[in-house]
Amino acid sequence: MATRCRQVNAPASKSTPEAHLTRAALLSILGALTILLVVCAIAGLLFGTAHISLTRAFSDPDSPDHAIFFAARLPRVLMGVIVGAMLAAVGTALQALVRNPLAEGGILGISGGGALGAILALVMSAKLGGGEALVPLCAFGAALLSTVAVYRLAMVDGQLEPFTLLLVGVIFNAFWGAAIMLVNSVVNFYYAHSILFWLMGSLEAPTYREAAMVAGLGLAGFAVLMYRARDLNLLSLGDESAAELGVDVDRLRRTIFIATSVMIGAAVSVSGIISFVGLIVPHTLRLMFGADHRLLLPASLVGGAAFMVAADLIARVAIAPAEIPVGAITALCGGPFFIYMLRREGRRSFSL
Amino acid sequence: MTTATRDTVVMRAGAIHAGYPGVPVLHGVSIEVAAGEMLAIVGPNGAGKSTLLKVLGGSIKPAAGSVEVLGRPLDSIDRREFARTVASVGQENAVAFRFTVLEIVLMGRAPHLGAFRFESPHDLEIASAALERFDLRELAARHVQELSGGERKRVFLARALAQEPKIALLDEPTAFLDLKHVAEIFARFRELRTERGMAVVATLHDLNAAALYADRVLLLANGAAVAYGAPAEVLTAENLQRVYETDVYVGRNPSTGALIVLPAALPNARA
Amino acid sequence: MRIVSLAPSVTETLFALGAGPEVVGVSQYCDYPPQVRDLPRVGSFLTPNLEAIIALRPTLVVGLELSSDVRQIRALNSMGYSVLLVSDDSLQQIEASIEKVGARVDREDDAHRLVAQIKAQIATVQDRLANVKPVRALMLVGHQPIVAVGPDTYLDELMHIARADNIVEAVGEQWPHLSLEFIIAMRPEVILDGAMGTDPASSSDFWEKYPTIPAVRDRRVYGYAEDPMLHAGPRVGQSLEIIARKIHPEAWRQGADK
Repeated sequence: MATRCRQVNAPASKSTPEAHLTRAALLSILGALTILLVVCAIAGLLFGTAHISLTRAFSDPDSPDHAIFFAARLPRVLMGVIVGAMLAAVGTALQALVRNPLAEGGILGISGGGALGAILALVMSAKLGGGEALVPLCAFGAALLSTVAVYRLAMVDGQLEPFTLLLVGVIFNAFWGAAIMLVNSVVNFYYAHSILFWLMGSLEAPTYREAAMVAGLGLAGFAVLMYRARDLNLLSLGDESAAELGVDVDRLRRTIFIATSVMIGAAVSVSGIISFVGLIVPHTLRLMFGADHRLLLPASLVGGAAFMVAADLIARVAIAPAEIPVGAITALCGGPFFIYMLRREGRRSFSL
Repeated sequence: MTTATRDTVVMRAGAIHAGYPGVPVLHGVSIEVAAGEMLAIVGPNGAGKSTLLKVLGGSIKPAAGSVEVLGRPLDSIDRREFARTVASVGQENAVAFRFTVLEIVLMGRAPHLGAFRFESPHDLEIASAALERFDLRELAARHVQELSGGERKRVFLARALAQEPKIALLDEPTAFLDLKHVAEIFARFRELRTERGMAVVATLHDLNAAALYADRVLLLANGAAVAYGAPAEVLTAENLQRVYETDVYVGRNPSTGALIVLPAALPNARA
Repeated sequence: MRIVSLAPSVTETLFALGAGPEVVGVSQYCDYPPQVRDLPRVGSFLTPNLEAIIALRPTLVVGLELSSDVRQIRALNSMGYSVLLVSDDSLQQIEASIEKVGARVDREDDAHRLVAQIKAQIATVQDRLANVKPVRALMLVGHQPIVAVGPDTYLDELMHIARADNIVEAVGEQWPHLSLEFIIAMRPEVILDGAMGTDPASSSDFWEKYPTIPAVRDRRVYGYAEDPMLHAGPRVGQSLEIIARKIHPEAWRQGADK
């Protein structure tokens, strides 16, 4: 990590290794973050509502330890890794897209739309029938529809302007929130818990199949993002400058928007709206390691996974056997932390 | 380094009509730029200087007329190849996020690099040389957001240089720069013009700089060319008085012999 | 057997059937009979804690039909645990649930007896009320928002048996959110307000503001304790009597016993 410390006076040598991203820096930072992730994951597997013995879990397939570990804890930690990674990576990409560190899947109205879709499907599934897959599918579809709607509304003269996009996203969020409140007030209050699940996010009882599906979509989306990492750097110079450096800005915007929407749709469909991960993780990493997206994207992936697993651990054990929705934990941790970072860095961080 | 002949036309724009949705700006402007030449575009605010530069840089499509770069029509050239040939520096040099000076300059190498390739030592050398040329060596590890307007302008100029372009399009390159750096910028670009045959097209509000450094000057007013040629031919009292609507004194600097332009008197008081 | 119960009504049923010693875990809301206070908690029927349940190594998990969609229930099913879900939306369902649970825990005879007992209790109350005129009544389970007992619930059925016309009948929802205007317009003669608890002195201030309501004018607004009224289990007969006594106290005044 020492290779990445910022120095005010660069040594007067041919090239200054600290001032830009090198392969060595990339590998060492990602390595350190991976170690952090592994530590968090192990903690997540070791602790929970029930006390289990790892040796028995592995040696005795009939023991409750085995059942708890493989059926309750492991899929949950896996899901935490996947969802956290996706939300953080999406946050990074969206911030680059709108040139604003406050952008995030939740803020652009995509998660909200997905949650509304899920809630509507839930409430109507009693009348419509439809199997287990109906609700997550509707969440996913609704998230994508929200994307299209936000996108269309934010286009000005065929151009997608960052500020307009943010504004439209905020408006859509308010609208989805209101719609969800409306649904909540007219339905049987037994739905209240489910509605809360979608609004506050939870990693309750995921299945391996869900995890695999979300991971697949997430990796595909991430591959697209990584491929455009350098272009995202160039986008920070402004649309015109990026175009002058050879970037097809409209196409880049559309690609990123679609990739991130698929990723958010997948995440929301299994875990509801979890906010702040996509804000805290990229911002912290940017402050520590610089803004180069070739590092920031994979670092957010790993850092987001670690953050989510840690948050879920707290959600599970803080008031066991009751559970706190993990979205509440991310907000509780994230809010004050964000304020602290803000005060430390001052307005500089947000200057455009 | 090859020394391109000054007679090779690298960029040509013919009868350009262009503007913004609902607002036509340029009416039939034509120019020609040769290798190693500096063309200064001058004129009052709103004359269309930046618009013309944007047309040359490909970010605005002209409603009529054509732009040719190295003999080929502009829209037939692939984006990245174009970026390796033409570098633009706009008036506003904003950077979102905390990139260092070196990182910004290295971004100039992007048109030369594939999606996953890291910058090679060769790229770092070019970036270093660009930093050196614009006196940014000390600032290499500083965050661009923390720099002054003038320092940031130089960073963007260095970035343009790192692109290794044959043509540089500069929009008000001397804005924000102090006297020392204004002279240096022009000196650096003159070196580049001689060393590599780089052509420079710059919009300038400073008529004296245009007179001093440009090989040719285009005087624009209301979107049309008023005069186009050598500085002494274009920057005449008559032309300038007509275009700027104010009395102008045009003379020679007694010690250097250079053309100088000064406002002659305060504008007439309104009746 | 090692039984985990996810709802208070189920817990009561199990203990009433004599299967209490086999219960190893209960929901966080279970508090009757008093023995269950010492049992380990496993969440609730809407938010069962998977790890806590598995750790108890249950051979049977009993919950409510309402949770059939809940992820943890699905997970338990797919892990091969024996899960029984019962419903309690009507008296008939409550009785059927007791039978089902009884069958599952090998206490069928106890279940038959329990159901017979409940039927007898209900019959007794019905007899007492044979000649009374029905009154318009409203039963509330909460304030902010005001949630009322609606049709297709066992409480609504109890109200009918207790010769009360539920003013919410026409609304058509099981647990409707009501506005005060509606209540004032529908002019109930008796109001059973769960939010008031059993303390007769508490918060009649709320209702005092609306003296045009017959129930308020005639001082017929009663509170009730959550236990046993909101537990749709074996004490449903008791709940019926509580409701009936509040709505038609006159039917008990003439009688010799209370």
